[in-house]
Amino acid sequence: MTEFNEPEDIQLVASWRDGDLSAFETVVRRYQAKLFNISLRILGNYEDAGEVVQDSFLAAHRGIDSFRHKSRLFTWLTSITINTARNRATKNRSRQHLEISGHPQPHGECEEIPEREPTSTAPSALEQLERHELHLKLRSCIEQLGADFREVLVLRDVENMAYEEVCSALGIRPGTLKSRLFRAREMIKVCLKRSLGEFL
Amino acid sequence: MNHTEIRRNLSAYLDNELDQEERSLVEAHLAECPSCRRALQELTRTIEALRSLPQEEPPPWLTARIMARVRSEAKPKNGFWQAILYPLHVKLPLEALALLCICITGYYLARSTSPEMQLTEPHQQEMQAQQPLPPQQEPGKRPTGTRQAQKEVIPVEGNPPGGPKGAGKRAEYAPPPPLRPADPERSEPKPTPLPQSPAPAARRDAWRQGDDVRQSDAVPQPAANLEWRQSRESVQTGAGGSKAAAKFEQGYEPAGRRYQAETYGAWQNAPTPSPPHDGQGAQFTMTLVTADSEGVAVAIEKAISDLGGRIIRRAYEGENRSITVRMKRSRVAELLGRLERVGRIQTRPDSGSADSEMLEIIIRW
Repeated sequence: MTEFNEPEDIQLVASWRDGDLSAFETVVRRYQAKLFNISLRILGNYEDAGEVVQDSFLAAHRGIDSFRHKSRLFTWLTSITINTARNRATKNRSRQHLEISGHPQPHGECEEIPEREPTSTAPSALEQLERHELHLKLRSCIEQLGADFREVLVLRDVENMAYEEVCSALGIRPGTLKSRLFRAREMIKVCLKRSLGEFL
Repeated sequence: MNHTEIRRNLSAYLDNELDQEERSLVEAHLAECPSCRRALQELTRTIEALRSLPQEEPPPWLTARIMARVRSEAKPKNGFWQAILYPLHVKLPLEALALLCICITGYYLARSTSPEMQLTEPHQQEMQAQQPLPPQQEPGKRPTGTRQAQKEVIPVEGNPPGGPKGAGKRAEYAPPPPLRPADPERSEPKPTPLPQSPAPAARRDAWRQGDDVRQSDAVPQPAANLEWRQSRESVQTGAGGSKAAAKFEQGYEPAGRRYQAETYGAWQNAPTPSPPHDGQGAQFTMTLVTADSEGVAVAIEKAISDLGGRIIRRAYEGENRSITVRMKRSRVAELLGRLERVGRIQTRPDSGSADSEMLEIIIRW
């Protein structure tokens, strides 16, 4: 999880508002990976995710004057990204282009997905294979969720955002978030059990 | 809490989002319920699996592309003139064409301000159609003024009922008599009096004042013009009127209409003009009597200029001054009106229905 330095964000936003594009670039570099992954989990398409992040930062740049620090900068950017991703998903549905199989591999089709496990506990090849299979299945299960459930699951469980932030980014109440999150987790659990059997 | 409620709260329990009481209830239930503990374990592993999903690296070009788009938006937009003119090869021809269309439209609009004379033409034709020709005149022939016709008594308002036969019997419209009072010094009869053309109110006054004078005006008239006048007088005396006369009197400004009718009558019934001296139009001569012989030249030239005439020759030296102008036949009546503002027209132009549109007039004073 990205560590957010709020005082620094406030200063960056102030410079950004004054037309300092280097401040804006700093914000882009700081948050683009997180926003890209959120977009990727929601849309399931690598290229679409990249375009959504571009559009989101552009929209943020146009609307930076409306940002009042009522939430963290990252939360504000996340809400923009979610909205942009929803629009993109709607467009994709109309074109019947939604790819169920996930994103194209940017570094080659058979290349291993880089793991972030500590080297001291490096998994064996079998464990890596199982983990890779688990991740593929998880992506598939997430993409099969409805948009509302997918959004709360991605923000809370994949991106590990706090309840308050998720509520702020999605504009929903905590009770709604709890309910959606419970149902989304249950659906993922059932999906994984059906695919992997004894894994759980 | 039953199993369903407990399992519904397990998600929030794992997120530590339950209050203390709910948390105690869930923990108490889990201590006694192995299936719920199993459900909690599965949920925990699911969340762990989700959190183990690797973070994907964004495309390496993402930052550069975002910054490029933002910088392109930050560029100042094209100015007003750039927006109007560029690209030149597309917009300039279109704008030139539009300007040309506007100019042509404006030109035709300016020309469409029709003169008074044209407005009266239909009525004049109507009057001509109803105007009986003199017995001795064959249809199609231009009426010529004779002294005998000029000596006929002109019926006017106030005539006794047993006056001339024409009065009270003839229903045709008659144009008004000349507006100008007779010139007592004039020894030679004038062929056709031409109207004044001041402002409508002034013309109306002149018309009223001229009524008395017209009754005794012995200015000789061309025969056809006399007939015309007689028929008009018959209308004025109330001895019955034709539809043409009634139509003429209704809905139009009387003084102006009389002026127009008279003008046309004078022009159409006048003798044939002298042949054009240079092949470009008939030539007429008129004499203007004025006290200010110096200043009248300016007024004449201005009137000519206003009416679209062209000054051909000026002769301002000596006592007999003159100016020769060429102008449209349809504007001559207006010129006479303008000249009567600055002086008295002693010798009116011996004009007529010249075939040519352009006339040449010599004004002496």
